[in-house]
Amino acid sequence: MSTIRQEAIKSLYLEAFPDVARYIGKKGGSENDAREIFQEAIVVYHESVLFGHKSIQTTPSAYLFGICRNLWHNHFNASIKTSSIEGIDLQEEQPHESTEKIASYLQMAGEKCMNLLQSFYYEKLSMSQLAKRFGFASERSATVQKYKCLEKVRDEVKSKSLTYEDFIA
Amino acid sequence: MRTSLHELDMIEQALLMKKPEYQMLLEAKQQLDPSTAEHINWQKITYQAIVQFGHIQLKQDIQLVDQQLFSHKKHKSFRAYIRSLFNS
Repeated sequence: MSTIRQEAIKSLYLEAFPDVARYIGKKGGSENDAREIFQEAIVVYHESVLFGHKSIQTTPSAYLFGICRNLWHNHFNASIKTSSIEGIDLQEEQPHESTEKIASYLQMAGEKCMNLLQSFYYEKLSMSQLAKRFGFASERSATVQKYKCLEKVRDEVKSKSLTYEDFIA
Repeated sequence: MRTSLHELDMIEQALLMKKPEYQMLLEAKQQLDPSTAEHINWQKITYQAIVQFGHIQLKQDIQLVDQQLFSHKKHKSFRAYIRSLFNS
């Protein structure tokens, strides 16, 4: 599953990234700025269009370019704001330290279970798509397996006493 | 399905699918069994954990592709083209 997605992401890079890089370069940004922004845009594209089923009236490349332009604009405005406040030590926001911890805890519940659960609850696949992806004979078998995995992960989360706040990055 | 899985299903139908008949059932179950509230809470946290896990996996896939494109020999010409956009 991951390899198929990686191939799709690579196609997006090859098709859409040059225009984004040219735009960011013209605006005075670096290659690293362009790569970071493009990565964020791909997350947005997946979560809103592919998983969120938001319909777009344009090509994926044009949509990604639009997101990158907005992200760059926000990034640029944030830089101006930061540099105009003198004498105040503004620390960059650090990534939430628990995210890595959570990922490793959940791996313990088993890779197959986690892939199945994230396909349903994060990628929002239907039960028939889920059954097809994971090779179940019927939607019913996929449903039963989903709940077995959910129970396993819930017990793992419970045993580690994770709280709701641990997941708010 | 065994009983514990039925309870997971009932909570899911009420919480995620927002089906009124399951919401009523769950409310009634909470009246009869106070530990149900705790089960609901753990299930909510678990959903949050799964979504967070999916988000992390996606970011890892993107980073992996980015690293491949900007370090592997076979993408040398793509890399050179991108770099030329920042040197002009």
